[in-house]
Amino acid sequence: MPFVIAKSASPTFAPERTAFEALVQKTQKQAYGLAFRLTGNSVEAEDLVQESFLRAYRFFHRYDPTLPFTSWLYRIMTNAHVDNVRKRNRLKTTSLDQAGVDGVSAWEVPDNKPSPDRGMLDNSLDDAMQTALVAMTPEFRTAVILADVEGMAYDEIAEVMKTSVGTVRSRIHRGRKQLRNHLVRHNPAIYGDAVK
Amino acid sequence: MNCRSVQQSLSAYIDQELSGREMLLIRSHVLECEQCSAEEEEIRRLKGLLTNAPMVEPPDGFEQRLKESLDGGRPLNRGRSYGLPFLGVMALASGVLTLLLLHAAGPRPEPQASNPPTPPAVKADVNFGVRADQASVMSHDPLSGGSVVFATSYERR
Repeated sequence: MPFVIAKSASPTFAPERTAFEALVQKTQKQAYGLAFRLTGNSVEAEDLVQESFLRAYRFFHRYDPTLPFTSWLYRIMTNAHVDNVRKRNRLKTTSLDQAGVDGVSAWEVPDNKPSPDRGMLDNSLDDAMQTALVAMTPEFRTAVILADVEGMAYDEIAEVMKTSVGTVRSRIHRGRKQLRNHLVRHNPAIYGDAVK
Repeated sequence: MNCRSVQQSLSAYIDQELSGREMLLIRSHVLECEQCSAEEEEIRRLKGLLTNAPMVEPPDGFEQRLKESLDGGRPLNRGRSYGLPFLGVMALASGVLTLLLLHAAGPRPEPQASNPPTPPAVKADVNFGVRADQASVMSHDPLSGGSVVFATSYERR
């Protein structure tokens, strides 16, 4: 289906809009795959994809077309994801501190426990992996996914995450340890069979 | 190299992200050390589990919903509650939006004696004199049926 975004009043914006629509068409599935691995469920993944493309659309004038669009989009997405997780954690902390007059928390706390979509993941190993991924520190999870799922080199990941190669190296090392520890603790049988 | 420093570099070794000299030193150690060799093998397999993980396909209707959100037909953040801080921000946003909509609507027309014309359907255009790169189409306004455009400064967090 051709991807068409609402028309702008400005005629000079038309070529940019067309170019953007083409990029969305080309990258939306891949973007969803990354978003799902980052968030662990389809609802949050869709929200993250929409938020990321909206931001990319808003700042499209800053995109350098000589660079891959996915790298730029992934930077937006990973920043948004880490920001969202931090906000959610702050909200949860605030709710514990500020109970209402009846002793019940004043805010509704979003449930940040991952709930892998059974329809999305076809096997228990992938379920276990996804649960372990979502339990990781967000920066570590991002680095490991970009390296192992997206196949990026460390300097590419450093560019996406706006950090140094040394930091990427540390995040991947510590991230894989977190991932393994979670699998060994929560799914020893599945993980044990998988790495034999 | 001792086992501790080798094991700290194993991920980068497996990813071939070390200098040639470091790669050779670690390879030499791993060939002779059973513990580090086992650790290397396990990290390789863990990496393999992720690399070979099945591609996640978007759910039905994903493309349409994405298109609608970029067109401004549906708000983001389905099914979430944010509580009082978010409501406060939304109250402020509503005030800004009301001003923008009133400005776009212009002065009220004089009442007419017979059969006032039906107002034309408002197109889903990004307008209101706001530059497209400073506007975000958030939703449809339930009153006018037009796009709800949120114009603000987007300072990078």
